[in-house]
Amino acid sequence: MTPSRNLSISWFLVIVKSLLNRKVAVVLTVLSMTLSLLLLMTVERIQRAAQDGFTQTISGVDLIVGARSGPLQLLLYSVFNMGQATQNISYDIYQKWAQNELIEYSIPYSLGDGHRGFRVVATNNDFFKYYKFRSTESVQFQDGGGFKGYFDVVLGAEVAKSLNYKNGDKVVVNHGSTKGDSMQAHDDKPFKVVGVLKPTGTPLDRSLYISLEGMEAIHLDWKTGAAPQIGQEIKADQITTEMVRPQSITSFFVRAKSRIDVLKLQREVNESIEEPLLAIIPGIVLSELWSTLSTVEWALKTISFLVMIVGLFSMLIALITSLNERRREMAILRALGAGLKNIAFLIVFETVMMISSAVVLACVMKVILEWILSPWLKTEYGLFLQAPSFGFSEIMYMLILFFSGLILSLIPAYQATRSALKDGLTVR
Amino acid sequence: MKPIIEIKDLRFAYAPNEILNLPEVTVNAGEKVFIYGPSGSGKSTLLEILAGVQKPSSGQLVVNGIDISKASFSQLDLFRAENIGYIFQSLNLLPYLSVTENILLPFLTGTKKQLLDDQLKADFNHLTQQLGLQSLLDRPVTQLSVGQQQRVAVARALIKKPKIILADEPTSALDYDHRESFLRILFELCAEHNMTVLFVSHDRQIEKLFSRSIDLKAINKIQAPTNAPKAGL
Repeated sequence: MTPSRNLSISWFLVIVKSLLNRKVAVVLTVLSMTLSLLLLMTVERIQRAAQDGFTQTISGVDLIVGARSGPLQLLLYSVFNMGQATQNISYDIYQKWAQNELIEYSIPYSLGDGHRGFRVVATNNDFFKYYKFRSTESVQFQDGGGFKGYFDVVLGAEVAKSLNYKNGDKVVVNHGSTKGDSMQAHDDKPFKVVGVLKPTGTPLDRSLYISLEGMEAIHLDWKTGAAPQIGQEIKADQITTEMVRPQSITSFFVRAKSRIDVLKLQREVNESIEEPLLAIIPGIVLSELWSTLSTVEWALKTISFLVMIVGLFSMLIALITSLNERRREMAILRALGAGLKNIAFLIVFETVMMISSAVVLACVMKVILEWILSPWLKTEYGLFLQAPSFGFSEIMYMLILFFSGLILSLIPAYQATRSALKDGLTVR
Repeated sequence: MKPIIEIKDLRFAYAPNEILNLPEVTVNAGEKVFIYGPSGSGKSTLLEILAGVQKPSSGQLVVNGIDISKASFSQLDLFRAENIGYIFQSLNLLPYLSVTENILLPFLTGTKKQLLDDQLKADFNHLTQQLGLQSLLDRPVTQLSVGQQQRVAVARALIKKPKIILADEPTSALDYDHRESFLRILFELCAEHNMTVLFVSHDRQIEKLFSRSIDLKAINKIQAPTNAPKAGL
């Protein structure tokens, strides 16, 4: 009795088994292409996340005003929590400018404290009313609302989520550190959570918001910049409105009534004589930042492309070196009636299989990497991987890899037909 | 008797060296022809021309009623797929395929009509049974002995029932007893479908098993150079 078996054969089967027969070389080749594509897509992704992060975090602000320092420094510390403010500006000056007739609204920012790795922003309820990000989106509450008392705190979505805080919880603010934990805590005056913001996908999610008065209150008795001596503390219930009138802020955001007035307003601020102020137009500073970074960006991309070329060449080398060992295989196929076209097709299709595996593998690894690294990127670098994982650029890179590989495979394909023609049926 | 191969004034040259000049050879259908000659006498080249892998420089070559001396290479590939079963001296098999897959390889080329399932199954079972391959079908070919490998090669050459079997010293790696039994079973199977066998070798020990033998040196008007013959011819 003969066993019933499936009698079938196809070029596909032959190609797959031939590739599997050369497993080590094929796997290494595919991996080198995978990694090169992955590198290119990662550079692209991070760059886009950085750019999106910067351009989407703040919108609708015409000017940022702070103490006189570098424009980039002012932008970075006030919006992106990078670096430190060197000086504050007085609250009186802020109030004077806030009432300027050219200004539609302004948002004060007072920085310097933190809470378990998140920064604390002291502001007022105008922040919730006016702050815009990603062009036109406003800050919204998913729970609760703005400040009512001095010791109220509103949490960014990320803060609430990762620390598992909800309305009514007590929060102690740390002194002098906007990142990490600080030695000194304002534990005598805890804040109460009154609201949680909706996720924005920007650094806004990673901040706690308290009122300017609250900021003033916790520092009332810290006259020397350190915790008060025993017996000199001022209790929370002894605080009066007069005591917590804000003295100074770090910077403020300005929206002018008309875009035409922005430059005039900027000049007026920069030339004001009461206090050394600096007004910057965030868009201009950002584009200056980009043009500085574009060299780095260009270098990274060039290197990534070179790595991709190296990956492609390693495939080419693997294919060409395999050809000599496969002359026997080609002679057998020729004897069976395979033409030179079949031989060329075999090599090209093999390449297609290898590149396709590399592309699929790179995509899978990219998704996994993003999943693993995105919390870390968020906390360490404030990079939010928001936009879709596969955009136009990623598809382009895949196509570039695919088609350049396809074109390169014509070289070994041509060589294979040449040697098949020369060998005929006798491989010497 | 109907001629299946007709050669007239066939010439073949590798660049400056003329290798073959055969005024006339005729082979009838069903014949088992033994072609012998020393190394370099052009045996392999003759097989390559008959298989349509090389084109003759001039002359006429009609195989199975088709004038293949005037065919294009792609027509020749199709001709080979449909009419020729080829058995190499050794290393006939693709090492990464199973015995079954190796036997079925001819169905990759030519017209696909022949893959009629039931007929193929019957042919496949018949061939593998006759050649004693039934127990080896799922083995990797690298585990087979040389004799077993050559029998797989026979099954592959015959599975599509081609008109002509071309064999390039397929027995040279076998000892004498095995050669005889190998040839006997090859002839038996070829006789079932009246296939013609052309067998080239320099080993005349097995000559007597064939219905006819041709001394290539005698019919080829070009004599192989006495020193430094072109390797492998």
